[in-house]
Amino acid sequence: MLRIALAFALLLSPLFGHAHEVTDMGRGFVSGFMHPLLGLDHVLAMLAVGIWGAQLGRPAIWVLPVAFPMMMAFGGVLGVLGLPFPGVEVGIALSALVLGVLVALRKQIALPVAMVVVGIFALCHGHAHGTEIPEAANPATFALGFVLATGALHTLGIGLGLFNDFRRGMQLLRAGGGLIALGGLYYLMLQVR
Amino acid sequence: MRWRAFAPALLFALAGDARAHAFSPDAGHFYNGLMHAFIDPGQVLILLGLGLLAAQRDLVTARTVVIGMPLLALIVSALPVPADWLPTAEAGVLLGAGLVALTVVLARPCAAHWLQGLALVSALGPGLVNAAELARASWLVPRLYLSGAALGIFMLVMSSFVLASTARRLFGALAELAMRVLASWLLAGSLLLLALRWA
Repeated sequence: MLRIALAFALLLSPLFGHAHEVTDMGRGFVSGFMHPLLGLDHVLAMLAVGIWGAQLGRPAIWVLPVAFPMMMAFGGVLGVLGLPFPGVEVGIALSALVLGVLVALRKQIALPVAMVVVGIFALCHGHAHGTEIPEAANPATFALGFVLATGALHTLGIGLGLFNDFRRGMQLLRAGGGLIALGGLYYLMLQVR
Repeated sequence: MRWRAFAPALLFALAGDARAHAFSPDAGHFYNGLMHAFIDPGQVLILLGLGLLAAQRDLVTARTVVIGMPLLALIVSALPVPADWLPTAEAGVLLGAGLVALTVVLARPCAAHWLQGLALVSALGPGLVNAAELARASWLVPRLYLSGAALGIFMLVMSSFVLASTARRLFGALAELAMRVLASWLLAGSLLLLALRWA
């Protein structure tokens, strides 16, 4: 009986059949999608944006993840056009540090101020992604890939932020904010050193 | 009992050829048109955005977007347009995509005729892109290419609209917020692609 089950289990786990080669378009999208995911500093900051938005409640829970990609696109445009943005890596590390601290403290600030804070950091992240775009196998799909990945990280952050409604969840989120801030501090030290 | 265990393995060995693609020389022209809406990033952005716009607004706007827009795009695609219009038409698609996405993000109350106008003006971009593409690739059979392109545009707008409106019906305000967030991604994408044109 076990053998039959094993044989059928093999049927259920076939290898992928690659009917089509991954062309430049696929490579461009995949590398763009992976770009924010492979940089831990990016990941920490994006998660913090989502969590902080959730902590601030409505309308920040959706305004921050809407404002971020738009400002990130402006930063990306600067990067694509080759315009310099001094201290962009420091800005990215600072984003994880500052947003992590804000999450840890559950800091409630006015929405316009929160948008400005998030917007400035979004410019840094966008510029970092944007400078990579022209070298990508397919710049257009690379750009779409990193926008999508950034949005996905925000969504994950918002999802985590919803635990803020529970007492234990709120404590865990604040601890998570502390860890994000520590990560940001580490990256900041790497940049300043 | 043992033979039962080997039966699936035997089935593997007896598997016939897998024909992934039907062989028909004419299908290529149709398929080319159909896929154009799905593989041109600008068209993907504007068509997804229009689907969101249709789901976000009233029924009249939805009808214009889902039926009027693909029809107008088909008519414009049939116009005799020089091939060198392609870059301008592609930039127009991206501008339109940005405008449509911004309208969804802001979600401001807006007169229906403005939204209908926006939907119909948005048809010009994909239509002109297809017309210029047809002029560039003279080997394509226009009738097949254009019918494929119109179907591709309709499919993408329709699927975006159906998904978004179903989500709106199921999740209400939460889905409306998700649509605005999605539109902000579309706006960011179109801004970046526009910048790439100038870079």
